[in-house]
Amino acid sequence: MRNLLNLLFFCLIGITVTGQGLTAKEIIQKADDKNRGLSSQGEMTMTIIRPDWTRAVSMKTWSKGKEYSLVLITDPAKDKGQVFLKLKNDMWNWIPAIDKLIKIPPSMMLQSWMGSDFTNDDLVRESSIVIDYSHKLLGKETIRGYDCYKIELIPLPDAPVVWGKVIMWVTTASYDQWKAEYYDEDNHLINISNSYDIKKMSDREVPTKIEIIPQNKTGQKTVLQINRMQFNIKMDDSFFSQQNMRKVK
Amino acid sequence: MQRLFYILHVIILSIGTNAQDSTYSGEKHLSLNGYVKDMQTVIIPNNDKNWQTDNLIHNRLNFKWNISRNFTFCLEERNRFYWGELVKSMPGYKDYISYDNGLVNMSWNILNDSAYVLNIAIDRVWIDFAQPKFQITVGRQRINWSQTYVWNPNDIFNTYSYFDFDYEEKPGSDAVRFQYFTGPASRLEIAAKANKQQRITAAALYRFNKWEYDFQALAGLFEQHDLVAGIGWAGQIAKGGFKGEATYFHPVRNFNDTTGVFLASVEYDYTFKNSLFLQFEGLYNSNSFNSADLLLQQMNAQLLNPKNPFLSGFSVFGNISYPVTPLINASLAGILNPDNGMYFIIPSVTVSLSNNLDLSLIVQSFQSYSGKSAIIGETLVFIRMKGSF
Repeated sequence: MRNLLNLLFFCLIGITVTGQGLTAKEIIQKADDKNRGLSSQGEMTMTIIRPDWTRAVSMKTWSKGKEYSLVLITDPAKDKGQVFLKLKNDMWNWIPAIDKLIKIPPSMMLQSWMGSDFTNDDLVRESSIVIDYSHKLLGKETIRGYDCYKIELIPLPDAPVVWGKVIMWVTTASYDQWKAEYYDEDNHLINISNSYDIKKMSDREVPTKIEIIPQNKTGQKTVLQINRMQFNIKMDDSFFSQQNMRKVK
Repeated sequence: MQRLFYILHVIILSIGTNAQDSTYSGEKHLSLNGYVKDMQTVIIPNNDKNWQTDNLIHNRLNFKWNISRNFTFCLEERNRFYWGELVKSMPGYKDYISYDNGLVNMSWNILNDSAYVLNIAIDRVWIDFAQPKFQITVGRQRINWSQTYVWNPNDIFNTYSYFDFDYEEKPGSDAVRFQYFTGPASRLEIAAKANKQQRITAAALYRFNKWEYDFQALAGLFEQHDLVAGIGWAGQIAKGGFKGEATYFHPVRNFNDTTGVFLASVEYDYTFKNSLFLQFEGLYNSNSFNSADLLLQQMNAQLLNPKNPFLSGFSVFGNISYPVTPLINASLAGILNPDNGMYFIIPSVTVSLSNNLDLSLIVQSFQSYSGKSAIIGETLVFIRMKGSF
């Protein structure tokens, strides 16, 4: 009975919000579309924060579509100059100090970097937040001053997803993924991600700071700071090449 | 690092949105980086209390000058100050420190005393001309055609020793190199170098990507003495890295009356979800010219060459490494060579003290177990602090 009431309740909210013309799936679709563009070029820093230490890595990045990306490490000094290239399913690491091009096997992706809180499955999104989940609009909430749609995502039975449930808050005005909670299959909250600092980057306004906070681990988080970003640069596919790994600066 | 990239790949894809065309250039024309290391070595012979110590203060400077869009100039040099009992007591040690296998000598012991030696060596100095489809590099450079981790039969321009871990950049060659890029993941390369004895090595390599594998084939002349041909690959089996190299050398003179040298290495590595990393490699070396009288501290790149990268016969390598905490990485490697009755055990721990400061403890123990060689085993202990800038 209670479940039925819940269901009715959610349906009602769903209908109310849908009254504005968008279903939960369409909102997620819009948020995902905003997150998947044609090309980008930028500079960013990832900082891992622990109670008694922090470590940071900075890089320049280039991407085009879903299949091409190139990353140049600019800091720390010991890793500076290393380049990573992804072409469809192939990945390489270029180490200029020894002139070595290393083909990266898939299992090496599982290696953690300094224990970063970015987990394999919420970030290495082989899965799609549109295709691999069912979506339910839970209502609207104001999060850190922004009106958001609150949407529940439940993975479809055969989807390649480890989460049992994801609750996502998407800003109503600009469809930014503003906050997300990740639950395991036993419905325990594992991670919270928050976006901050919406700034103009070339012609777009996007969140420029994203943090992941693991739960039950006091004082831990990982922060990604976008220092500079440009979008839809004209880039030939040939930019993403082993030759360019040796040339990017 | 690789996993970090994968995360980044996803992040940058998830940030790319629609916008206008523009570009920016954050490149600097001149750059300088490098490191300072201090390494204490203790050599402990089996059954002998006569320990020997060696201390090395090691500074590396890497200069790069982006002259124009197409031209780049690079100069890298190392300044090494050695002091301790090895400098005092080991005959030939200073010559060993200053040894340069290149056509042009660029290594000098500028301070030379019975108690210490200061060496300055240039191991990279090249100018590069790059065009959209090709690239020409002239000067002392590293030409690395290897695929596997420990032993590299395809690395015919510059061999290095796995044990010489402190020489992270590895030696270069005095060479001319032409690379023609036939696709995003394929290239034709032609290179020629001359060594100290003015003998020329010249070869061509073709590398391409197919079925998510990299393949390469090479052929040429090695030190004006042998014809050389080889193949290599890098791909994956069950998500782990699967790589290999094979090279055959055959003397040019008396081609029909001589036998060649065959080298082959195969590697497999796998990373588990908890970051445990396993790695295995095997080497076959048909060259029986050396081996068992090698001393560990002499197993450096000077005495090895592409035709003889390690002990003869079959060798197997295994390595397990694990980040005990995010800042502490521990590994244990071992090498077994039954043909010479020798094994090597190499444990190590590296601690990240800050973003640019690392402390390492590395042990290399090498032992003979079967009486096949007259070698008396010994253990080397290295403690190293490294600050990068």
